[in-house]
Amino acid sequence: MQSFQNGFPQALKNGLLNTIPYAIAIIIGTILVPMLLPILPFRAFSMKGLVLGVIWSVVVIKYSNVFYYDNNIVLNISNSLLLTSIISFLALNFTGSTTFTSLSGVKKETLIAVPVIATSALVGVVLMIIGNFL
Amino acid sequence: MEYIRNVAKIEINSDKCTGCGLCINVCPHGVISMDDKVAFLANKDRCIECGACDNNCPVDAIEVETGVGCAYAIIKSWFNSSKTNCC
Repeated sequence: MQSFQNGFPQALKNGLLNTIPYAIAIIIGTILVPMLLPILPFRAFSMKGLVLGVIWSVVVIKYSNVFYYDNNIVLNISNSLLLTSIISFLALNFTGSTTFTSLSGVKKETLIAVPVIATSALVGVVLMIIGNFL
Repeated sequence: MEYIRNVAKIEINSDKCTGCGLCINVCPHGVISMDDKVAFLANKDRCIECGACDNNCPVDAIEVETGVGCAYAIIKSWFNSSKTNCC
């Protein structure tokens, strides 16, 4: 809410800066995950995405002032949940592009990962709204 | 690289197997091996359920639930109630 106190142009500037970690999260999920697929730990693709998601979230929290995020624990948790969900979901979508995944395995992974990702994204959105009013 | 363990739906009926070895030739991941002229699953976790062994077995001794392991298609099928296995 801090942004709106300084007028619309400032809010727009802050909004654009706030978007950068999310744009980078998409790049991580679509480019970095397939590049690092053999190196990343865990067998499930969503877990591989989770690893990078957590790393990226830590980086974003550490440099939150660069992206104009308020130093607020609720917003930090919200951003971490959303960024990790995006990267994990994008990683999950690469199951169909490899030569070693099977239908049964992907069914099992999807059944567990998608509800978890959807819930964490929803919690992230709710915390984002709450965090902006704190 | 290997994917999730203990999920592959592949079965070999050793009573039907004649030991021709076609399944071993067509398997891209070396899942099947031969022991005393009967095929057996040596590396079940490496199976990608492509169905090559099932299609090529002359005596229909192998059964595999085949399909493309595409997460997007699986999620789409939850909402469309169709059994699509392709994006």
